[in-house]
Formats: sequence, structure tokens, C-alpha cells
Amino acid sequence: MGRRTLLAILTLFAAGTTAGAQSGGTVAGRVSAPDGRPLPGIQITVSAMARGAVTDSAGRFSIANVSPGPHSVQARGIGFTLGTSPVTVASGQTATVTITLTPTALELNPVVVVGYGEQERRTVTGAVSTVTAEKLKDIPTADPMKALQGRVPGVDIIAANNEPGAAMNVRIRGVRSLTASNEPLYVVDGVPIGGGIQDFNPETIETIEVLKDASATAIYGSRGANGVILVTTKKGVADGRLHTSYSVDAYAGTQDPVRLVPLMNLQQYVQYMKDGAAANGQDTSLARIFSAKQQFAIKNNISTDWQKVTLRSGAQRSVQTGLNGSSGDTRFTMNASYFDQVGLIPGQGYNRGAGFASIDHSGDKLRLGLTTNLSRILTNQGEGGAAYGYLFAVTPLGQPINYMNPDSAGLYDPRPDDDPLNLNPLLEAQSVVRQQNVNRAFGAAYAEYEIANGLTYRVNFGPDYTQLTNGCWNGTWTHGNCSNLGAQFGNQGQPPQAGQFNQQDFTYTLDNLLHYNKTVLSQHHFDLTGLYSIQHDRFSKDSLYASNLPYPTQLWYDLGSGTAGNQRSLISEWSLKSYMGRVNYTFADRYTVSITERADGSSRLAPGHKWAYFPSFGASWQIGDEGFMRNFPAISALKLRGSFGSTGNTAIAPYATEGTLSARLYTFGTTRVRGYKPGSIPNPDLGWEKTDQSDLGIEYGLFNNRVSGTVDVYKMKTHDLLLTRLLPATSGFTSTLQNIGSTENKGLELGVTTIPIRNWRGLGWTMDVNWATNKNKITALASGSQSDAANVWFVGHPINLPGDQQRQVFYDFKYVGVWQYADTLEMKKFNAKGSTFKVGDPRVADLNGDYRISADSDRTFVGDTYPGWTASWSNRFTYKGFDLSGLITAKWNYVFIDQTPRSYNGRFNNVADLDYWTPTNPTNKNPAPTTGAVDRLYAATRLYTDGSHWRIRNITAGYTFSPRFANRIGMQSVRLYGTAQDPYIHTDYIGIDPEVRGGVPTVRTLLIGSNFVF
Amino acid sequence: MKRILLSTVTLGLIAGAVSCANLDEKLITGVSSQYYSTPDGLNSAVIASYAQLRGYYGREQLISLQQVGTDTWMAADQSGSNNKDFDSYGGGFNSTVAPLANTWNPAYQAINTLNAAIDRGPAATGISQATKNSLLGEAHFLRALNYFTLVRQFGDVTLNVHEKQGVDASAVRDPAKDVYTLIIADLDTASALLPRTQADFGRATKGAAQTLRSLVYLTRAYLAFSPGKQGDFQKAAADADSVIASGTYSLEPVFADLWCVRRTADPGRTGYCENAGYNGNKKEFIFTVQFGPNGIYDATHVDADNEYNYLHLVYLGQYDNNGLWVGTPRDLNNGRPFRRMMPTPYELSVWNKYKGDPALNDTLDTRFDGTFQTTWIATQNNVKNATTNCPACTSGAVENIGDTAAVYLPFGVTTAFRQSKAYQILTPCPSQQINNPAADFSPAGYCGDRNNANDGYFNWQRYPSMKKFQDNQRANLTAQEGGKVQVIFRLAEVYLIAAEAAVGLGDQAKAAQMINVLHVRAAATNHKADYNVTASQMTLDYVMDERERELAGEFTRWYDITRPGVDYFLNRVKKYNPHGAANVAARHLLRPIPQSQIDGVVVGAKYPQNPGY
Repeated sequence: MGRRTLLAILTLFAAGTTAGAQSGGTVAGRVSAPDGRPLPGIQITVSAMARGAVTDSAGRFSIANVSPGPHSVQARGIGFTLGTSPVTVASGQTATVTITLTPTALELNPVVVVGYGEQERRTVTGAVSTVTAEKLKDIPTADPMKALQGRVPGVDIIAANNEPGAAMNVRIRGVRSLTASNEPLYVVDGVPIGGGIQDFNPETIETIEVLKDASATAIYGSRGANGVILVTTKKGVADGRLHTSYSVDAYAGTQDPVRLVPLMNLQQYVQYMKDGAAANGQDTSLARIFSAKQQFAIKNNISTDWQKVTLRSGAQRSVQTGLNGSSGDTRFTMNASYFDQVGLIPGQGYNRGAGFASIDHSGDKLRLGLTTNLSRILTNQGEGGAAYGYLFAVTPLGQPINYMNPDSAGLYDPRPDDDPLNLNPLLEAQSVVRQQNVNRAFGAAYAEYEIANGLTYRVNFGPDYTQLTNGCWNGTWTHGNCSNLGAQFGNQGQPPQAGQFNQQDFTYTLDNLLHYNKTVLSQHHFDLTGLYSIQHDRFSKDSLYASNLPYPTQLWYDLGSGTAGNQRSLISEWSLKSYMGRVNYTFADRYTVSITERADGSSRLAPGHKWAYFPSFGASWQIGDEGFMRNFPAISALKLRGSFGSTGNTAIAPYATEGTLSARLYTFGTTRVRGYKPGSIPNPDLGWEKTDQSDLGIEYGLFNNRVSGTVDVYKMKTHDLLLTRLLPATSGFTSTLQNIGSTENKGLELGVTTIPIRNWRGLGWTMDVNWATNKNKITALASGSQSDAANVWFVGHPINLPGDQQRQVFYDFKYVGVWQYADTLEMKKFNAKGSTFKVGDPRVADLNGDYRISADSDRTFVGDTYPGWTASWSNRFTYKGFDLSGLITAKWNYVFIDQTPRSYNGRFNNVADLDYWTPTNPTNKNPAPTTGAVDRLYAATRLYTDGSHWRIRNITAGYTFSPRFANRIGMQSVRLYGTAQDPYIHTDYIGIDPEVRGGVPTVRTLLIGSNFVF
Repeated sequence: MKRILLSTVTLGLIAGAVSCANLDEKLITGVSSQYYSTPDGLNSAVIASYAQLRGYYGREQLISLQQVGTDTWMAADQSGSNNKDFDSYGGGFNSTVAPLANTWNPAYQAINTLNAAIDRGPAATGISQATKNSLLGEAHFLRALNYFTLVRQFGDVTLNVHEKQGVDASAVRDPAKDVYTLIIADLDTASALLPRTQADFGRATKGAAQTLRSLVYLTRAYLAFSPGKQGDFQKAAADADSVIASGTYSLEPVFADLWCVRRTADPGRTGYCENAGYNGNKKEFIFTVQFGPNGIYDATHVDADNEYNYLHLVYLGQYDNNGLWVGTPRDLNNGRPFRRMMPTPYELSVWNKYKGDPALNDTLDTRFDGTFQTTWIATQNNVKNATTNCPACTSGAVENIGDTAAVYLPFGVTTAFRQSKAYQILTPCPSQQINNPAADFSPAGYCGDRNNANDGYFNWQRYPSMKKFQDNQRANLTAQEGGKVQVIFRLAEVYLIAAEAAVGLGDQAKAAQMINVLHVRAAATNHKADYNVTASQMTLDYVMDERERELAGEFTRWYDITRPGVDYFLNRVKKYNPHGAANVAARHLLRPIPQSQIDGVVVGAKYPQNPGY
């Protein structure tokens, strides 16, 4: 590599040949936004030269060896209009240019990352949405997917719960699979990874592309059906000279619940218990209803607000430092970060330390690169959501500390209100330690060699190793147990128990790619890609468990000191072998056709059925560039694209095609014996579930791109569904996995970006609106049947996912109110046919009017959890150095089960929903209270609740100091900002959050931060 | 440059070579169904079928399906809506209630495992003929046992006699008559193949097969499709006689020793059941379901199903922290009171506990004290009953560890008697006070100075605790995991089957003879000679009462009162079960088919529901 070459890695002209050393001048300069902010990552090209540079974090670039004479310098950046500036270069001198780029809504021009390569956006035939680091940065969070919430139409991202470190559930264009996964495939720097990207520091991500339709996803074949999320990490900035810049980002803030659930106070609780006793014809004297401790509280008027005493203020902070730069043909970036979150429930927290490094080297013919991400994540799960749940059960008459027994002064009371099953949430939180440690090493290495002009060979190697350790410790006074580790109900008053499990997962991907790119007769551009790829995964897990531990301080680190419990271990392996070919043909830079075919061979399928094929076809037409469009000056850009193709869903577990036996233990007298019963039915015909998808899209720009956006309509048919079908027990099994049935998804997605004010006396305003609707339904079930009530699957109705904890489709009796005195005659007709209704009982609809409530004829569809539509609205204002942005999201028309406990059965309820039935309050909202901890019949049918809501996701205000000021204090740039995340939810719902249900309250984060580059 | 080119090409070649990934799948963790073809396969299937019994026995659904809603047992306050539905035959009793599927599903899964053993077993190699015979006999016995549960609960049910090899979402209901035919054929095979005794305690024996067959014949005798009522009674009697005559089994001399170990501190055996040193292996037991080595549940070696004996919880009334008496916080010995079931007033009337006037305290039948815990001993020092809780007893008297804290008496006592004691005395209440079963008693949970011996109503939270299943060998006082065996058949029941068959055949003398065998064992030492019955007393009702005295709480009662037919069943429930009397109807003689079965049959004709549901 004797000669120096210039880097052109991210430019459009990367395929160009090298230029020899010659006497020329240098072009240097700076690119900034209208507000003066330096713009990093902008591609700079100098006319007539097949090379260029990319701006550094201070917006600077420098290109040497430019032939003397007049040139045009072009600056291209994602999200900005093309900027040009004339320059005259003199030999041996440096010519300086300053280019200001104005933001554009329309992202028609730049390159986008597609599967196995990059492509000019204008020729892309698939539905691909790009989110840049710029936008991700607005939301300071640990999980990149959280920053993506509401940014892409048709992509629904919801946290599984609100506990620190909780995973994000991502649904692209709704759900289609009944029992297999609906999570998309994540690909980081070309390496498909298992699971999500929550281990990656958002700051190391350059762009996230969401591939939504078959033309884009079919090249991932058997894993593309749920959409693909391509993550490109940051690369070093090359400007052809030895150069390094350093940055430090830090923020810190507090987290508090957005909403709390109203709880009963002492008077309200006493009244409610009396009402319950009265409704059951029981003695309502305090002495008969309440325990000794409770009576003591009543006498002394002690009322505990358990929510207040249990929850604490959370916190979130982050600090990271990075450097990036280049030296000759090599560019590099490094980043070290630390993120820490303190949860609302004592014992909960999350922290992550991560190191990221990327190095790229370009020679004449050869390019090499390596990206690594090392992260260590410690999640303290504690008692978590369960502790929050307990505080709805324990009565306000209990006290955290046992004040009746002087011996226990200062100690938490394990039975604060005397009810043996009512726990002390504070003691629980203190007595349970659940800790998860994840160490992950991810790498992506490539070598690319240009064999001939336009023909390159590339090898990608991507190892990904995750080592996870889970520790679980339950102290003396806890109710829970280390459930995944062994079985022992409760632990109240017993010595501690603990367990640990370890799992290792090693995956690697090895791709061999041939890429050929050729322009024939100047109008015909061909781009051919061929792939041979393998992936292998090895997963192993082991667990240990012990009870009767003598020393609480040892947690799970001396399991040998207790009574040994379960020991388990397992291994599971799979491999995937693939061939893929892709042809892109563009004519006259306006008409593009893209054809792909992928063949996947999988170890998970039965012999003879291992291979599956996934074709796709896409076409696009840049109408905007046609001559006749000059007649429509208002339309500044217009592109039409369409595609159809087939993708698969990979989620068959290894060994699922083999019939297995499951072990059962038994005892004969003193001897423990082990037997095997049939566990699953062998199914050699099991294959991938396949989705055929068609998409029609328009990308447009109006009024000089002041208004721009996309419109997509799509239809998907998923067939050969993998169903864990519930079987009648007479089949000998309760369920089996089969390829049966089909579903359909239809949707419409709109994305509009406008620039109402481009630059009016220093003021800029951009506004994005996204709107999407998706309807799914089941179109066929097994053996032509129309309904499967056991699974709540009905043809023509939405998809219920039985694997989830919560149902999605509600097929149940319909709640119509409470039996009132006025209805007595009607009620007697029911009672004459075997019912035992009383006034104050919940009343459900008798749909067939036969005065008998029966599961066969009186259940109906009372709603589903799929929103009618979702929308987001974001605004960004800039004024000189100031910026202000906000994001609002909305979700409308859906139903969910209100799980805020309001059972009114004399136990486990202190939520202050006081509108329950009594003779003097004949409401229809809630039935009469009762006693005995058993709900009134059909009481649960009133809990289906409308979830329509809108919320403010984020408000950020920042100030960027002028470059002059920054330079004066030795910086390249300085920005200070404040952010409010999830500050407000607008809903009628009494509980915490109609979108993220269960667990702990949704948090409002208020934080301030700063970015320094020097 | 060339070096780089070369190394790149080499890298590519290596990549290509390594890439020849193997797509074959090799199951390492787990066992494939090929295992059934190995010499251990047959035994493993039979063991798994024993284990599958734990999906039904020892569990909550037994309460719903075999005990509540009868003349002698009814739901207590924490019974849960399911048991209460089964008890009251009320509006919530429909095809979706969980105990139905919890009975149906384990039975059919076990039947499939057993069909695999029966289909593949005869070809098994590498085991001796004797072992093979025994295993096949056990498989036939267990299949009969599962079908017998299904046919008695649900009537016509699907008959599967071969292992299912693929997915079968179709099913039809075969006539109950055919189910009985299969059960009897299975038991004929089993009794021919099985040995009289097994080295492994818990494996089925010839005696178990004969006992089950005698009960099957006895049950079929009353049914309309019986090929001959007298013939079935005769066959039932013949099997019972054969088991009795075999000499393999013998009655435990002292009734209470069947369940507990004798405690010197409690010679009257009115307290809790002591299980230290008790392994459940009694000469009287014919077939048992096992839950742990030596009767001790071992929480540290469980399979995924985590199935344990739960029954120690379900019969216990509240004694701890009950605001009524003091000195007895919840402890391991007295158990965790889940308050699922309590005796009906009728139950408390059948016992013959005393000879003559109860006040003379001359115990006749020891089985009441062997069945119920009526006495609680203080486990705390220096506690006093408050006057509000115990107005009549000796106010202010101090109790210490070892003192009596509370006693249930099945008859009323005088105020003077109460005031002579420092402890609580709980006596039955008049029935009119509890028209509403949820109603508590005012002011203090006892019924005052009355002398109304046999009203029999106790508060449904606090009542004498049935103690046969009590298990103080559990890990701790809150542990639900019990390891005690559950007795399915014991010799005493064989005498009762013989007696019932004899009544059916009109041979009352033989019936009396059978009952008297049990009476001799049951009688207190001073009444061994004078606690006997005569032939003229022998009616079906007498046998039913005797069954309760002997088998109270052992989950036979629902079968016992439904066996003689719908009239007998309706009459008994209406007369004696205060919760179910108003609602019980002829349709309740059979349970509804679980909705999951009906919903799951999506191929072929709809799976029919039982009439009236």
C-alpha cells in the first residue's frame, strides 16, 4: 500500500478507482446548519473527482490533491438539501468554502442502507424508512428503540413494562403470526442478531432503517416476515489527514410516576368493608370485620398511603466520551459510555457500561473494517412490579412497621394488616434480590476486494456472544420464590432461598458476497449481488438452586451451604444456510426494477423439508424527473413504487419437528423413579410460516420540498401459520404446533414532513405528522373450521395471541350493568332457569334471550387491543442557537382489560373506585361489594376498557453556543439542553397507563444535559 | 498487494469451506419418542402414567368433583367459586368451570400414555416375562381407573384404546355401556397378569384390580344398561370376597393409626395428626397414589409439573388468629387452614360417638376422633381469652403452652360447664341462624347455653377439621407441598362394597357380618363386644352411613350417593345439603363436558354436551 489514497467510504462514488499522487491543491471547509450548528457526517464531493470526504463532528472537512482550477463542491447529507459552492483551487494552496445546508423533509436523494449493501434512495423499490442519529439524539434513553417510538409510520414500539431495562416490543405493520414471534429481525452492520438492540448505546448508532415491505425484506428470506431493522453504527470521519476530535456528553435527571392510582383512605376502606358485610347480610360491627391490628388503626385513626410509602423517586444519568478521526487511509471511532437508572421500586435499577470501537481501512483494491461493541449490563429487577401489585392488596389500616409489638420496634411488619396473604410491599422489596448480568461481545468484520472494475468480493464475519447470569435471592419474609429455579411456595418465616442460572449464546454469521455493478450505454445501470451465507447458533443454559441458606449476606454466592435443589442444564443448536441473488436494473436513472430470490436451508425443519424459497419483485418510477412534470411546478419530486414478494417467519424452536417425551417423576415407597410420557406429537411436515406481501408507495415533495412525505398501502397474507393449536384432550395431547390457517393484514401509512418556516429572521420550524392504520384478521383456521373458541380464534376477526399473558381479542359475556331492584321481575326469570342472581350482582347480556347465561350462546366480541389508528405529531423550532422540539403520539379505538385490582370481595383491594353498588347508590358501574375473597359471578366482565389516549412523549429545549464562543473556550461546539420524557398522558382510565400495562408506574423523566466537542 | 489478494482469496476459500454447515438436527437435551422401543421404555411409560395420577389425585379438583354438594360435605368460606358452584349446583356451575377440564385432561393424557404402553409393551424385549406381565397388568389397571373416573363423572365419553400417532381434533362420545365393558375387560386382563404383591410400594397388584372391579360391578349393577343387576351384585361380592380371603391385606387394629402416629400426649386422639415416622405403607392399603419418598414431599427434586399432595389444606377450619380463642397461632402441626370444605349437619349426626347420653362421655365409636380434630392445645404462654370473645368461660384465666385452648363439642353444654373451663367451647348452632351460609354468628361465634345436641351447624369458617390428610412433615407451616400418600382403596372399603352388594342381593345377614367386622375395629376397647348390628338393620341407608363413618373425607362420597341412581342422589342432597338443596336437579347426576373439549373438536360432528347444561 505504498500510495496514499483518499477515503470515500460513505460517498456515492466509493466504487471509483484511485487517483495517483499529483500536484494539486486542497479544498477545506466547514458545513453547518442554518442555525450555525456544525453538521457532521455530510458527504463532500468535488466535481469531476471520484472521491470525497465526510465532515467531522465539528462539520469540517478537507480534501487534498485536487487538480487546480475551478470546481464545484457538493455537500450531501441525509435530511438536508444538496448544497453546492464554487471554488477555485490553486496548486499547493488551500481553498476554503463554507456551506450551509437547509434541512429537507424529503429524503429522496441520499443513499440508504438496504440488505447486503447500499443503494441510492431514488432507486429503491421497497418501503424503507430511515431515522438518523439527529432524531435519535432528541430522546436521551438507554434503548435505541425507545428513541424510535412514534418516528416511523406503521412501526409500533411499546415497552413490555415500565421496569428499568424492560424490553421493547416492536411491531412493524401489525401482527400476523398467531403463535410464532411478531418481533422484527435486527441486523447490525450486516450481521443478523438474535433479539433486540437494547445492549447498544444509542449514541453509537448512525442510522436505523426500517424495512417494511417484501421488496426490502425478502432478501432476509425466512426471517423477513416481521420486517427488518437495519442498524448502521457510526464510522470514523475521514478527512484525509491526521485528525482526532473528542466529545463528551452527559445528562442527569429524575424520574417520577406520571400518574398514580387513587387509593382508599381509612374512612373509605372501613365504609367499603361495612358495605360488603351488609350486602352479605353479615354483622357490620367493626369488631367482627376487622382484625386486631386493623381495629387498633381505626381507633387511632392511622391510615397508610402504601403508594406513597413504597415508591421512591427514580433517577437516570448517562455520561459518555468518544473520539473519532482518521490517519491516512484509516479512520476510527471509539466510544465509552455509562448509563445508570434508579427505579421507582426500592431494589430496582439498571446500569450499562459499554465500549464501542470501529476501524476502517481503505486501500486501492482492498477495504477492511472491524466494529466491536462490548457491553456489560446489570439489571436489578428486585421484587419489581409484584411489589407494586401488593400495595393494592394491603389495606390502608396496616402499617409498614409493627407498632403493636414493642419487640419488633423499627422492623417491617411481615403481616401489616393481619391478613396472612397481605404482604408488606416495603418488606418484600427489601427481601428480594433478582439480578441479571449480561456480558455481550458483538463484532462485525469485513474484507472487501475489488477483483475487477465494478466486481467486488466481500466477506462478512459477525460473531455475537452473550453470557447471562441471573441471580435470585428470597429472604426470610417474602412471598415469592425463585420460580424459574425450583419449586417452593412462599417463604414466609423460613430461611432464605436462592438460585442462579447461567446461559451462553454464541452465534456467528459468515457471508460471502459477490457484487457487480455496471453501466451499459450510459442509460442502463445494473447492480447484481450474490450471497452464500451461513449462520450457526449454540445456546446452553444451566441452573442451580438451594434453600435453607444460613447467611443472608451471601445471596446466591454460596449455594452449597444450603439444601441443594434443582439442577438443570440444556443445550440447543441450530444452523441456517442461505443463497441469495439480487438484480437491480435502472434505466435512465428513472425506472428501476429489483428482483431478489433467497433460499434458506434450516436445521430446524424436518429432513426433506429443510429448504424454503423467498422471491420478490419491486419497481419504481421517478415521475418527478419526467419532462412533462415541468408543467406542475408545485410538485418538486414524485416517485411511485410497488412491490410484491414472499417472506418467512423463522420462529420454529429447534427440535420442534421431532416428537419428544417429557419426564415425569414418581415415587414407589422410598424410591424416586422417572418415567416418560408423550410430550409432543412428531410433525415432519412443519415448515416456515410465509407471508405474501404487496405494497404500493408514493414519495412526494411539494412547493420546493416544503411539504414532502410518503404514502404506502399494503396487503399481506400470511399462510401456513405456525399454530400451537389447543387440542381436545381426547387427542391425548393438549396442544400441537402445525402449519395451518392464514391471516391477512391491510394498512395505510402516511408520513408528512413540512417546513412551515424555513428561515424567517432566524426562526425555523419543521413539523412531521405520521398516521397509520392496520387491520388484521384471521382468514382460515385448521381444517376449514370457522372458529376455535378455545384459542379465541375466529375467522374474520382479529388475531388473538395465546402465548401472551394478556389476550388481544376479548370474546366474553357482555357486561350491561348491575342487577337493580327495578329489574327484579326480569331477574326472577333467570333464577327460575337455574341462575342465582341477586340485586347488586353484575348483569351480563343474555344474547339469545333464553333467560340462561351460557358460554355457548351468550359470549360475544367485546373488543380487541388493536388500535383503530395511531398517529404522531412532532415539531421542531430553531431560533439562532435555540432549538425546541416535541413529540406527541396518539392511539385510538382499542379495548384492553383494566388490571387495576378492584375486586370488591373484601380482600386484596384498596383502589378508590368508590362508585360501587349499594342500596343507596344504585350504580351500574361496579357491582355490590362482597366478602369471602370470591368475586361475584361475571364481575370480571366489567373490566374491558377503552384505551384511546394521547400522550406527550418528549419535549426538548436546547441551546447551542455560537462557534465563536465555543472556540474561545477551546471547544468546537457546545450544546446544553433540557428534556421532559413522557410528561403527560391524556386518558380516562383510572390505572397507570392504557398502553403499557402491569408492572410499575410509567415514569416522567426530567433531565438536563450537555454535549461538548473539542 | 499480491499477498493481500492471496490472503483475501484464501479467506474466501476458508469461509466457503467452513460454511458447509450441517443442517442435521441432533436432540441432546430431551428424549425422543424412540425411547419407548428400548427395554426401559415400557416401564418408563407405566411410571409416567402413575405420575399422571398426580394431575388429578391430591389436587383441588377432587373437592369439586368427589366431595362437595353431597349429603355429608359442603363448601366452607374460602372454598373458591368453583367448589361453591359444585356445592350449590348454582348459576355459575357450567361447562367452563376449571375443575372439569382439570379432571378430563389429565385422564385422557394418562390414557394416551397407557395406550402407548399397551400397544408397544407386548413387543418389548430385554425384560423378563414376569416383569412384562406386571407392567402390562399395571397399564390395564390404570387405564380402567382413569376411564372409571370419566364414566362416573361424565357418562358417555370418548373411548381411546390405541396410542394417538398424529393430531386428532375429532372425537365422538361412546356409550357408557361400552366404557364399562372396556373397564371390565381391562381389569380382567390386569387381575390375570398382576402379581399379588409388588416389591415397589405403590404399584398396582392383583388385589387392586379385583377391588376396582368389584366397585365397577357394584356401580354398574344400579345402571339401566347393566346386563343383570343381580349378576353384577354377585360379581361385585365375589371380587370383594376374593380380596378379603386373599390374606394379602388386613385391617389396621386401631383406626386412627391408618393416618397418624400415636402421640402419648394425646391419648384420646382428639388433636392434630402426627406424621413423624409415618410412611403410609399399611397392610390395609390396597392402592395408593404416592407423593414423596416415605411420605415426605421433597421440594428439591420435582419435575416441571410440581405435583404434590394438596389435600392436607382443604379440610381444615380456622383456628389461628380467629378472634375467637387465643394461644393457637398457625403452626405446622395444626396445618394451614384453607377452609374449602366443612361437614354438613348430617355428617355430624352419623357417628355413634357416645354410648348413651353424651354427657356421660362414654366413647363408643372411635372413628369420630380418628377423623376429626376437635381439640387445639395452646402453643403460647400467658394468654387470656377476652371477655368479649368468651363471655361465659372463666374470664381472666390464663393459658400456657400445653393447656387446652379450644374444643369443639358436637352437643350443647350448660353455662355452668362453660364457666368451669378457661378454654373456648364451640358447639353447634340451630339451623335457622344460618339461612345465609355466609352469615357469621353473633355475638361471639358460639350458640350459647343450649342443649341442642344435633343441630350440627358450625360457622363455615370455624368447624371441626377433618384430619386424615394433615401433614406436619411439610417443609414449613405455609408450604402447600404435602408428601403423604393418598389412599384410593383400602380393605375397609372392600367390606363396605361386600355389604352393599349383599344388601342389593337381599342377603342382609352377610351385610351385617361385613359391617360388624368394621365395628369391632371401630369400637372403643370397652365396647368391642357390644357395638354390632343385626341383619334387620341392614338397608342401603345404613351402609351409606357406615361408609361415611369409615371413609369420611376420603373422596368417595359423591360417587357413593350418585351410585344408587338419580332419585337417591336428589333425595340425599335435598335433605341434607343446605347449600345445594334448592338448586340440585336430575341433570346434576352427570357433570357438564368441559367447554375446552367441545371447543377443541373442530373436525367432524360437534362434541355433544350433557343434557341440561
